[in-house]
Formats: sequence, C-alpha cells, structure tokens
Amino acid sequence: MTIKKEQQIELNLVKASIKGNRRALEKLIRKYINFCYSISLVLTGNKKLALLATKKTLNEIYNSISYISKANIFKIWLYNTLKNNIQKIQEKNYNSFKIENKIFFDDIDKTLAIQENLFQELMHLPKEQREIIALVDFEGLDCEEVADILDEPVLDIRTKLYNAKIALYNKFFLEKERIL
Amino acid sequence: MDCQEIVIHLTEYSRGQLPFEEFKEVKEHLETCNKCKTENEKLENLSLTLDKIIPSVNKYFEKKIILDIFVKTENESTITKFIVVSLIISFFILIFSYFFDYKSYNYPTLKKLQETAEKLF
Repeated sequence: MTIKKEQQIELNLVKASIKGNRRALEKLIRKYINFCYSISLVLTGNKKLALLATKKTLNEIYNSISYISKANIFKIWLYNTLKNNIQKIQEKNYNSFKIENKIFFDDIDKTLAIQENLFQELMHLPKEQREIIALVDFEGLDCEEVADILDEPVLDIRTKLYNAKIALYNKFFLEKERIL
Repeated sequence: MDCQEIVIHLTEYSRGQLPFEEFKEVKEHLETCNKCKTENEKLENLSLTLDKIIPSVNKYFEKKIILDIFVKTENESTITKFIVVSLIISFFILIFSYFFDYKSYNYPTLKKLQETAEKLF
C-alpha cells in the first residue's frame, strides 16, 4: 500500500470519528496506542509514566475528537495533547517518576542486551533529538510531517535528525567497538 | 547538492521518503562520493538496529486501555446522564411545590370520604 493511500485511509478514519462513528473511533484509538506509548517512553524514559500518559491521551481522543475542526490537523493535535499530558503527569509526580535503568520490551527477546543498551544510549541524548528520532524512526513519519507537528522548518528537522543519529551512532557503535 | 546537503537527506533516502528528483540526485551522488556512502551505511546500520527497539504496548495493556476507554467511560456517561436527569426532575418538583398552594387546597375530610363511599356502594 502506498504512503498516500495509507494517509487517505487514516484521514477518512479521523473524519468518521469526528462525525461520531464509534467503530472508526475504536480503530483510530487502536492505531495510535503504540504511537502515544513509544513517544511517551522516549520522552520520559519511564514505562509507568508512558502508560499513564498514553491512557490519558487516548481518553482525550475519545472525549474531544468531535471538537477538532479539520481532520488533517489530528496528528498535530494528538501530539500536543500527548506532550501536555506528559508534562502534567511529570509535574504532579515529580519525585516518583525517574528514568528507569532498564526498559523491558515485551515483544522482543529480552536477552538481546544490545537493544537495551541502544535504548539507554538513546535516552542519554537531549530530549529534542530523542523526540525527532522517535517520530522518524519509530513512527515512520517523514521530515515534512515532523516539521508540521513540531512547528519548525523542514531543513532544521533534517539537520537535527542527522546530528542526533550521528551522535547516537558514535555513542553506541563506536563505544561497542572500543569495548570489544 | 553538496556533501553537507546530501547527508541530511540520507534518512529519508533510505526510507524511500524523498521525492523522485531528490532521490535520484542523492543516489547519483552516493555512487561517486565514498565519504557520503560511508555515512549512509552508518545511518542504515543504525536505522536497522533502531527498528528492533521500537517500543510497543503489550496485548494485555492494549485490551485494558480499550476496555477502560470504551466500557468505563460509557458507564461513567450513563451514571452522569442519570444524575443529570434526576437533578432536572427534582428541580421541576421543587418549582412545582413552591407554586402549589397547600393551604387553599381543600383536602377531603374523613367524613366526606365516607359519604362518597356510601354513595358509590
């Protein structure tokens, strides 16, 4: 399926949800569970907090989707809502949530320590760089979509993404080679 | 495009997200420039590893979240609806009782009731 077709299907899903179609809304929420979770996890580094923010954001989709004026701004609205929720939860529970030393992935082989290490290295990057890597590499968005979401020029996003990836590469692969 | 411009397009290039013209330009450049080719290999290697660590909610939580949203919220909205309807009804009862003049209303006395009963039977 081409990217444009996929985007069109998603747009139709959002339009139907705005009009009050329950099935479409459920599909939409299922589609965005992992989006919310992975972004929250990368931004916070805490599994519990990420789940909380995900749940809160999805609840807001359920309650407030009918107030969105245009279907094509859904992703931007969702992203901003998610970030606000993360911030609110962090402010409320400032001391109880900290970056975890180990993030256990449920769907991958836990013995693969390399992946765990890469995630840890990712968490050591500045928040701004983590955010872009999560949106591009985890969610498969292109730089133009990321620029729309973060309200920044595309060129800046491309440069930041490149710098982030090179920093991560140097931290992870070069460090690994040095140890070996 | 020079090397500096090429490298910032590499992620989108490897994901096939570049428009055809730019894609062609980057491809041609990579065939001739070893430095950018190495950068591209680095980024591709990193992307492949990053693909393996994409966090995802496990099935149990996915079900739980969906249930919480659709069942709990629905129950909550039913309870809210019930409370709102009860409040509206009690408001009308209150208004009605305020305007109803109990004193001027002639309540039937026991004697009158007995007389009516006798007439009937």
